[in-house]
Amino acid sequence: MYPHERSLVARLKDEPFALIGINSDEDLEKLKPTLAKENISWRSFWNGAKGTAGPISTSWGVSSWPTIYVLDETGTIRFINVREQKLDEAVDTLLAELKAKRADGK
Amino acid sequence: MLSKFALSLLAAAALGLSLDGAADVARIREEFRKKQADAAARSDAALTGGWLDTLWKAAADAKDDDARFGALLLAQQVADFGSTESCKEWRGKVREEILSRFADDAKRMGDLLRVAGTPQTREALLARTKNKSIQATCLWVEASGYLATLRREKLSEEAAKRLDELMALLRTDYKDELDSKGRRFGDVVEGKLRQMNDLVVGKVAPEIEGKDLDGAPFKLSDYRGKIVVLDFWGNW
Repeated sequence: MYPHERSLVARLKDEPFALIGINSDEDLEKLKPTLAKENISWRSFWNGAKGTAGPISTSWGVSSWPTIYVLDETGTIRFINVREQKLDEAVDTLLAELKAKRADGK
Repeated sequence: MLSKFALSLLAAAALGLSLDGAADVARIREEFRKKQADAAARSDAALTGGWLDTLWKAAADAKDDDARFGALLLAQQVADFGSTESCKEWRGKVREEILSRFADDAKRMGDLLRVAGTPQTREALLARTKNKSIQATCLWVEASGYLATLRREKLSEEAAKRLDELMALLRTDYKDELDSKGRRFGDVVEGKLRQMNDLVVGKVAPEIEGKDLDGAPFKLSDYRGKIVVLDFWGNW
């Protein structure tokens, strides 16, 4: 997953776009070398020391990883569990919509 | 009067027996693992029957409850695996032995549900156990089966009704019981219901407030006005 996320973030760095993680590792100290090595620059919430049983994933009912939601600029859920190419297409669709709305002055 | 020498011989024999029992269980566990993908082994009465006789004896001779439960748990798996009439009889016999000894033991019953949680065993355990946390686990395992089906297809009317019933029980009578990861069943069920009813295309995602990996607080709504990919991930 990391290379794909990295390229998405790099490609859209000047667009109104953000990749936000909810990280479910139990031990942040063990995770930190990976953040540097994999150049994980995007921001993540930490799900807490209970890992996959942490409060954010529990309240969202997440029981498989990764789980992905794509939200538009109003925070509305538009796509769920799209990956790779489909994820890129979903984000590009929403960015195009957003630009069209802004061009219309909405 | 037995001499000291005779006593030590007896002790060695007893020790030898229980060691042999443990060795038998380990050997059968290994053989069973190799045969699990082999459909022909299911109807091989000599194979499964031999294993079950040996495991039953190992359980009877076991030196402690850990060894006894280990032998019985493997026996339950073998009996559930086998398709012969004899295996069908063993299923009930082994299950009865496990439940009569361990039905209120949360850790062991968690293991039972995980590795040998057939509907029959789960229902028998639910009917037998007095431990509320085990009851909650039984209800949740049943609900999870329906939830897994629901991801692929629509539930029958009867199944949908049962799922509602299970979820309602878990978020009321059993809400404060803890699952194997230490979460309240009430929280687990609320999350699952939110995922099914509210975390769907067209609805606004709920707020997330928390801290980032450096400990700095932030909110999901800080990113309104942007397209957001929300990625539940872990490095494993």
